[in-house]
Amino acid sequence: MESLESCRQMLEEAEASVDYWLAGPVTDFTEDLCRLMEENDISRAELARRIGSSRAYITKLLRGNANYTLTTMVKLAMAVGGAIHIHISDQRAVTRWRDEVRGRKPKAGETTKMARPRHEDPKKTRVQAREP
Amino acid sequence: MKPGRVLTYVNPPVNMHLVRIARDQWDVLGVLDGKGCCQVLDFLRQLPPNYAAAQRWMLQFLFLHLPVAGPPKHNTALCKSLGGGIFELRRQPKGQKLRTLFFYDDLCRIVLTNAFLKAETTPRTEIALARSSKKRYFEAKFRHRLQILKET
Repeated sequence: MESLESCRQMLEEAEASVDYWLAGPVTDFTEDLCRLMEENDISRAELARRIGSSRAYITKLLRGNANYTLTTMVKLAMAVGGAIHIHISDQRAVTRWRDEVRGRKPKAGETTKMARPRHEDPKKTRVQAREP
Repeated sequence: MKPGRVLTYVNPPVNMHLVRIARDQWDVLGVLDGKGCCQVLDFLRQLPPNYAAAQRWMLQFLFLHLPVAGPPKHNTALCKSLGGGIFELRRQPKGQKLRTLFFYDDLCRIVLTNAFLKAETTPRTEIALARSSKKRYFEAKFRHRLQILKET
């Protein structure tokens, strides 16, 4: 299909831009922040107060438009009772996070971090992993 | 046995075509129109150069992030319900409001209906279009008349 191929090509060309690599981490970060805000019943105004900024800044940040520093990220995470974990992977990898609370034994087969190359068949990966 | 009757069941007409945009944990599909064009992909492809940042973000999101993590559930600034089972993916860098509407099917399937740029309010025609696509999709699914074009 022409439009699908064309979009894929555009996506490949966009790999050289910073915007391209920013979308994923920003979405993950804002989503986690919102989840913790909901869990801890923290409003945007309260979060702004805790980090010493304005409510407008929090709105801008959650929309993914702010270019914040690592210090701001840590401040935000601390304000909602969380912590930041950063991981650099292969560009073709898909990373999935799974939290494990300290002091709790992991369930069978549970790992803290999983990464596999994108577009790789998961069935094949499993078969290869079993081979000696 | 009436042969004509049997043939009707053997070759039921397909009345909704979709294209698979990406698939991982989530299956991301796009609705195709009568001419076999996906409005979402065509629209994103033809965005003017001043929307390049929003375009890149949305493409990256649809092709890479959505199939792996699904739509954001908590952050309403990025994904919001419009009622009637229709949701919108939102992106607005520097006031450029780019929206993609979708609905869920089963547990891990997302069907993208249409994409557009908006000013202050979301055009009702776009929401109506998404609702009509949703209705057609479930009717076609119920009658086993869905056809999904495979990834090339």
